Amino acid sequence: MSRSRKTKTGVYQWIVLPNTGIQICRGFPITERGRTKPEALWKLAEVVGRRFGEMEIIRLISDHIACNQELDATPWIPCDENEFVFFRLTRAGADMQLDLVADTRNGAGAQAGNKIPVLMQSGLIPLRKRAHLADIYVEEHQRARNEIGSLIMDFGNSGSAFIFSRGGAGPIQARMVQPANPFDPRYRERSADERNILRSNMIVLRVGPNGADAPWIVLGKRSEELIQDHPLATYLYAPKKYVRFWPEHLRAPEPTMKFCGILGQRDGLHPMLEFVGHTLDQMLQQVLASLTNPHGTSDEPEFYPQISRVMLTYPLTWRAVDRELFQGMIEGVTDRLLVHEAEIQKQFQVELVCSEPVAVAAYVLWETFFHFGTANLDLAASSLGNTRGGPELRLLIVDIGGGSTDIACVEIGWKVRQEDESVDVTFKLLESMRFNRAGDRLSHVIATGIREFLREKYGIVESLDFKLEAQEPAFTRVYKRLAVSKISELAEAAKAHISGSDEPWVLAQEEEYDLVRRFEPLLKGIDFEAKTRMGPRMYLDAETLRTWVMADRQSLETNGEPGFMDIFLYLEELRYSLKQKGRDPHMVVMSGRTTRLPFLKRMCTRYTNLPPHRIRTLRELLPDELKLQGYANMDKLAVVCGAQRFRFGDHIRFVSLPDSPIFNRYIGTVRETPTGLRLNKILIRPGDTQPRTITVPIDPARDVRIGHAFREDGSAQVIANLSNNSPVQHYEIELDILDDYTVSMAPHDHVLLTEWVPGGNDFIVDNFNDTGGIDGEPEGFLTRIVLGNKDRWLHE
Amino acid sequence: MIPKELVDTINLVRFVFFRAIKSLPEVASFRALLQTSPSAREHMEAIRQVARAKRLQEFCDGHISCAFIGSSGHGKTTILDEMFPVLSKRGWLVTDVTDTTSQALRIQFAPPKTKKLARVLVHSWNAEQIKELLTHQEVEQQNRRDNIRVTWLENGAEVDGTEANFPEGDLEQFRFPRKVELRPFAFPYEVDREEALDRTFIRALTVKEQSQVMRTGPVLGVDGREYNALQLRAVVKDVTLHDTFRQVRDWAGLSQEQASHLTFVDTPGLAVAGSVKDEVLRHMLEKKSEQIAVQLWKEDELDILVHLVLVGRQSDFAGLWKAIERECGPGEMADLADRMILAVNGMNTYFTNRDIMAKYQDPERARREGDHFATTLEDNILQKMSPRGRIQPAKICFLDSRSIVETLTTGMYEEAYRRYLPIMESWLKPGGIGQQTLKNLGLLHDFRENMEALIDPSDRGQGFLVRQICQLIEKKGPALLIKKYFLRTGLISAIEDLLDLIGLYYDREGRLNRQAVEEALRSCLGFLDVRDPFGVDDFVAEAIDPELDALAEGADGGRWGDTAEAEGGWIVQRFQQMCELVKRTILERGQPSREVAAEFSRHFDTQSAIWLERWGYVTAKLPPPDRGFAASNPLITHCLKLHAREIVYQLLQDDHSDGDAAVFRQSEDDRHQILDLVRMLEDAYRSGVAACAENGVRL
Repeated sequence: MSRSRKTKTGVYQWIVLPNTGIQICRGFPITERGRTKPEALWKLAEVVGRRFGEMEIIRLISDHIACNQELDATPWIPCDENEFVFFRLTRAGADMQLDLVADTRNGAGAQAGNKIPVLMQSGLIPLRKRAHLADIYVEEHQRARNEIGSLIMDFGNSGSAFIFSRGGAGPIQARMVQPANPFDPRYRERSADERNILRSNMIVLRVGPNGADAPWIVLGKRSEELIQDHPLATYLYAPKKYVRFWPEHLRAPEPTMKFCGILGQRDGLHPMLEFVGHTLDQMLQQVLASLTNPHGTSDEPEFYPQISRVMLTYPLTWRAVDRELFQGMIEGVTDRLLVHEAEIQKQFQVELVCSEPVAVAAYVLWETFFHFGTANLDLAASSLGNTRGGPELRLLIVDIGGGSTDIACVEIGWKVRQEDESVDVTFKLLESMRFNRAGDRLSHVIATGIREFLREKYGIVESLDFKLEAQEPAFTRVYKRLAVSKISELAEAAKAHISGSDEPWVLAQEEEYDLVRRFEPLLKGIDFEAKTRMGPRMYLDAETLRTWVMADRQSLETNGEPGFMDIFLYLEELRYSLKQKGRDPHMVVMSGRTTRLPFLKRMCTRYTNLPPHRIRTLRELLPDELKLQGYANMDKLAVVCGAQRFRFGDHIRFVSLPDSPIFNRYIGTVRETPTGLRLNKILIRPGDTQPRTITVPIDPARDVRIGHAFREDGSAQVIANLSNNSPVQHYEIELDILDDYTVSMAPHDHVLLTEWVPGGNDFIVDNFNDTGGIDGEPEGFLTRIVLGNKDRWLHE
Repeated sequence: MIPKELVDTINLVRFVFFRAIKSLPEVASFRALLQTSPSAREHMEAIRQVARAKRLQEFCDGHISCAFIGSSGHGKTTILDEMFPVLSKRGWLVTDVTDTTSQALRIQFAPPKTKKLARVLVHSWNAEQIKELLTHQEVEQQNRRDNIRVTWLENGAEVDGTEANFPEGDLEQFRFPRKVELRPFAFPYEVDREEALDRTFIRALTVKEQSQVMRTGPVLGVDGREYNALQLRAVVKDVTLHDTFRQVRDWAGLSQEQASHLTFVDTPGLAVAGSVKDEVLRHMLEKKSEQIAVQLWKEDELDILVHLVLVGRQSDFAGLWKAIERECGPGEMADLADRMILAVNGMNTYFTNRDIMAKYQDPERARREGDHFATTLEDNILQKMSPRGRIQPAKICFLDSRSIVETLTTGMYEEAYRRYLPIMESWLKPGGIGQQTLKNLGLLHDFRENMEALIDPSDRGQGFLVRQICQLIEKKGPALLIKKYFLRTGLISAIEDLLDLIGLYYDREGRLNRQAVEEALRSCLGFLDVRDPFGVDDFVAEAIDPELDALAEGADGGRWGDTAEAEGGWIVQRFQQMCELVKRTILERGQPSREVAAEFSRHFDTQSAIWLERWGYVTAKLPPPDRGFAASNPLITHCLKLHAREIVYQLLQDDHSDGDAAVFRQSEDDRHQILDLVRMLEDAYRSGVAACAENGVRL
């Protein structure tokens, strides 16, 4: 605090910059003590604070702001009742300090040049007690030290990560941003990993009726904690899966939600995408807040980041329109938040830098080449599985994230420039697959197991679906929300346990009690506390989960939608296809948190037919001695680090080459068979040049699905659906098949084309945490799977 | 220009390789080997893949392609027109208009008075290339904006502008149907004698005529499919013409035989704008010139590049550079400077353009702003040719065109240059304006010769350019051909692979040891189940990894000497230790008889010598652990652990044969066949490696 400056009024000044989120300064020094006795000052603060104690906003700040709640502190006091600027006095030993909070996006905190006095006064004029403790000054951005750089963002379903790469900084010097959560009183308990990877879940803390006012959003672990106590607040779990472009004719099924904060609400229903927008907005605010004030203790901005470029990664599951939508959303947020110098403004861009699996490949390559050095690239290549020699590699990236799985076979080549020992690395995407099944699917199946456990042991049969009216009226939506949150938490805990231990995960008695009490209205007359002390119990080990996964397959019942197991079945088909082309991968790299589950590596081994030493998780790629700090989370951070190295790789330069303009799959119309979807009429064959226009006949009031498969008679995946809404007219429709995944059609009055989207055309899968709909797609499908080996996981 | 011996060597190596991959499967023992060993099959398939390279499908005739690349309006075709006066008379080099069609003109040698001289071949793009042009991001955007619809046919595309929203004024000029089908030729079109003399036919192929004189009917037909002039603009890739190269030969003193190895390629102008004359194809044709150069590059058809830039104008080469990098990667341009000649056209401009003249007439201005060469060469060209800073071409030369000089000066070429000569000489004097820049560019020595060529009306610097090309070919040509045929195709590596494959299963006498090897492997690795994918991992983790860790600990405390070889020597040593460890552990576990153990060891040692080299241990250089570089030891241990698994895995795969032992019986004739093939391959490999070494090509 030595840098705090006294102003003419004799008090220290806290300097903030507009549009840098909710700014906090903990432990700010006060100068008033010289004139007023500390005890009197404290007393005055308590008196003044009590006056505002009933204000809802003050209660919100008291309960949620990221300040130490264990400190001896006065109540929070607004600097002005109409502004979002607050303070309190804290006492540690003899020392008295201030905690200050300013919302720099709304009101006075958003206006450069404003000076807001931190002032207390009480009593009537002759007896008025007044204390001027500090000033908050809102400075212009240009006056702060500006640092030009790029922001790299990996927006994930489970967590998001950010890097600020200062102009001219090398790949290792770039800093990981720890986006401080302003609404997290437990901020001191969060580990470094939790700070590096911001959990993407969101809850609305405060929202006003006016659409122009920015809501207060809580992200991260704290949002999961808050939903337990505020089950009716708007909560979004894994928001990334809602990034989807809905064309006008498909707007009807677009999911919506009410906009309800822990404090306040806004009228009507709002598309999920709007909440994704608020989430992104909050994320970037937190990033800006953290860069300007990294520890919540700076009395002046460390610097203002002149972000000249925002670089985004994207999953392969996103179509071009989804990618554009996401890019547009970020552009909207940056327009609102960033203040640019004129020169930077001219060159500023939001760029989709590369897909997530390509970012992972760039990360793997960069780390390997960096550590081996350019003189040893042959050795580096052989350590990545190329045992035939030559400057080439084919890496099969299996990126199993929270909501989607992207698989990409990337062909990599390199040349060393003799003059400066730098390396030019080229990437070419040979093949890719995308699934809407990933870690959330495993959580979903475990959640189904937990629900079945409750049914078996406690006889609970009530649906948890938020939209369904409960048989027992007392089992309200509040209870449902609490129950679903707990089930979700337990499912995540089970996955984490199995990932790190050979011992089975057991639903411990205290956890079981905490779970069951959320069903209290359904357990009238049952001493459930006593019952939790008795068996049976739920035991979940890797083998049980593996059995469940193996049974989760596309079927007639699922209307052809793939299950988690289909990832591996298609992987086998992909392996076959690559082998046919003489393009077997040299190594499989598994990334994403879910790959920590040990049996997934074994399944990968089996279905790729590669030996286990050529199937590696990111942790296994380099010896422990070479892993830098934070490496433990590389399965998640590889995407953002890879994207950063992709663009700023120093002496290792990456270039993406265009894909070969040929089809890799059979494409045709699709029919259902007892063994799943198969191609009916084949219209395009592997090796045909892209693109192609095909003509598809469609009868009145019929749908025709277009799909692709690796083999003529292999399993097919739907890539588009044609729907003729004319009851009488038959049409011959021309479709442009642009690549293995993309179909387009000229507008037609009666025939609608729905492009393939992850999760089908009208629903988002495995989002039980947002809907309460456990095992509803189709109903009972997962239940039958988990009950298949009930004796193994449910016993005394 | 290219030594015949080198061409012979290239063809010999190529021939031996093809013969070996054809003959080997005809040898009974090798056929049996392929039938029974999955890993040998896989190995052989990878080698066959190399034989499919397009470049290797043809004999090497020692041809060198010399491509002229420059922007539209920089006088490229005018120069070629003067270099090839006979072609000019035939009307194929069009200089009177700038609106020429985008295609490459390939000029090849034909002996005088032969029928070949009249031969003209028209090649089209394939369907993939046609579609690629239409799917260019900008073309797609523009077509969408103008409501031009493209239907993607199996073998081409149909561009439909019937609903396009072009301005009325443009539409009035349209002469061709609004719906245009673009399909590749079924085979190259050979222009017949009559057509080759028909100016209208030639212009339909080479010039975008004004709409009022445009012939809209079919120009030519291939395999029953007719093409009009607009379709040809889109689908024609290049036109191959023949010439005696008389002037070129005179300038460079080349024999007919030498000239027959040269091909000149006139590429379409860079930075061409779209034209309303291209009607519904205007957006796609805007990108065609660049795409032609990129395709030529991708197909390795540009050996020597002559980048022609008009004095006072800027180079647009960076745009093409970026496009090539986008398609092929930045490494592609690595050796570009070594095979590029900058041809500075329009030398007369130095004496007719006031701004440029002021640069050498006013010493103060020259000092302040840079002299005429600094501005026209350094600023306008060399600094702008690459998207990443300056490049220095292998040669720079100045040239001029008789027709242009005589038009501009309304006098004879030689008269004009007689006036220019003293000025040019003044630049060469010590302290003369421009002298230092010429010196900095390494041109001081060549400039005098270049100047003499320029003042010679029969040379005009064009002859000088040709001589520079020939010198560059002599200097770099052999290396270019070697890289093209040996390295980029992977031919030398494939021969090495083939020898490794044979060496693995046959002894030095040509005897197939497959059965003995297989039995030895089966006997020694019997403790591992080939069906259990995790068996190898478990075995190495339990029996090898701890030993490797112990070796690593020992290495930490060891002394590796102070010589430079220590950087690599310790790595080789560690690999050999690992191999010994793996071999010993397998033998201990497998408990084979002495004979079997000996066979196993022989096979293992043969293999490990290959692995050592192929996996990069021989070339690896890392500071030894005792030099304080903490990462070396763990990094090498990490590699060794992975490779120990790979070794056991490969041995286990080899052990797994899917054939009958009887097939391994080998006749004496069979043994001789193998021995002959091995000798042949070894000779070819040695010749190939020697050719690389002689010409400074690193393998």
